[in-house]
Amino acid sequence: MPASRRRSGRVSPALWIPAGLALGLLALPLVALAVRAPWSRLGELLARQEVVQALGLSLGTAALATLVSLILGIPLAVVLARSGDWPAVPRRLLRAVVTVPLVLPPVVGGVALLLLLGRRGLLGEHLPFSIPFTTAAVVIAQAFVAMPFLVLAVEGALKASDPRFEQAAATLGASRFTVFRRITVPLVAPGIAAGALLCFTRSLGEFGATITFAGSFPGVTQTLPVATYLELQRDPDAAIALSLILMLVSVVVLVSLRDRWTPGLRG
Amino acid sequence: MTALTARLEVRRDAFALALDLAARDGEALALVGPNGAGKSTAVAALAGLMPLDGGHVRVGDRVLDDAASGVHLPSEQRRVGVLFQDYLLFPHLDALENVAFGLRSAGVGRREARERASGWLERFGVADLAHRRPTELSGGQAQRVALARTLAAEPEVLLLDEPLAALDVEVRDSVRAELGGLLAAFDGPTVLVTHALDDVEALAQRVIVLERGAATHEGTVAELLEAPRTPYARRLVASSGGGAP
Repeated sequence: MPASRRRSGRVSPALWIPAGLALGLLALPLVALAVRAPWSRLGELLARQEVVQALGLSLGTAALATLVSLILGIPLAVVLARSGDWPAVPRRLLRAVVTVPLVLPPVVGGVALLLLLGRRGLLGEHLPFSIPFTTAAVVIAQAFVAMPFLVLAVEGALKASDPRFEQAAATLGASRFTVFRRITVPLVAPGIAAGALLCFTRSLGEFGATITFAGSFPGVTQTLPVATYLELQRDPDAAIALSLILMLVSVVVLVSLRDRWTPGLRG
Repeated sequence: MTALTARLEVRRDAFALALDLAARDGEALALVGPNGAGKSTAVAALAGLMPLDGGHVRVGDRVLDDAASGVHLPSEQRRVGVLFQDYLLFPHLDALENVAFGLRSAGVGRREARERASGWLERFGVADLAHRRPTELSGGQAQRVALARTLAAEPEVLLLDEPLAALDVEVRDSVRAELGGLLAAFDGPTVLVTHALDDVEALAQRVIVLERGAATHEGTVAELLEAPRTPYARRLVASSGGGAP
């Protein structure tokens, strides 16, 4: 087809220079990271107790944040996907609330969480226990930042799936919750998997909200990104090693997401 | 005894459906009409997938809908089974699990549900397809599995929504004949919605011609064949035996 030939064919030379610069901006830092990595010391650096601790804490909290996002986020995605015939004001408000953490600077998220759940926060002052600067605070900060990725991915998948399967299930006598559990969720399983993976990666990389709301106590709230930042001042080689781990995880996620990128995140 | 009685009133923008219908146990009533006559709306209303603006739906002495008193039973409580036009077999479940779905939803244990589903597949001659996914079934096979799924849920009323429209023309005649036999497994009232007179002749005893939301003819199939009243009905009867119009 002529149209597709034109699309994949010639590009004006005037575009090559900015395109090349853009590519360099995206790729060269990662190249530098790989080139300057202290490969000979890598084993020793990664075996350090604080590194192992930070890695374990990061994987654990990110997994928990993903679990929380799945349990709360899938129902929210269903509500969002079915909000089409709501009045405009609550419908747009709902969507805005879900989307805000995507564009909000994470530090602001951390400050906001302190104001809500801090010892003198809106909710926090009524709680018998203190949340900030605990491992729970890490999970909450990560979920705040990462859940929207899951919600939007699942919502996109829900909108693309045929609602008549749910109607058919209802005529067979299935209650609404049975329909949700046995039809709605399995039909959007690929969207849920993609959303969970994105959510996990985003949680793993979370820095701003975490350090603001949870601080950086080794073994309790010092996750990989926080440890990386702190190590950079003490032992740059250790920071590079930590960065390599985070990069590796991102690449693995990117590869496994390849074809599963769901419409919800394309906008 | 009249098992299903309904007056369906649905209003949408420029369209209005106002239809009285009744079907006895073991009787199949056909709703035949051109596209846009309101057939799908009637099916949706009977199945509880669309609320009534007026009228009622009763099965025996059970009230499924009564617009005047605001009664509207949701689909899952109506016991109105539907054989959908494109069957809507759940793509993530195999044939056996599809048929077991209604039983599982009714609280039947996994093992018993699978056994009873298995019985239905056997009865419909498709026991060997139990572990196939819907995408691995032919149109005729999918229809059998879908009908088994609908009947396994033990409905009191059966709706057939254009049951042959999704099939290739070559197999339509044979599947239609088979479907007539399979429907003997159901002894409640059946409502068949179609635009093809062949389906009416093969599967129904009585027929309502539906045009622009209202009945223009009601009687036995023989009466329609003998004395069609409207231009549409005359064209329909003239097309008889020549396949779908």
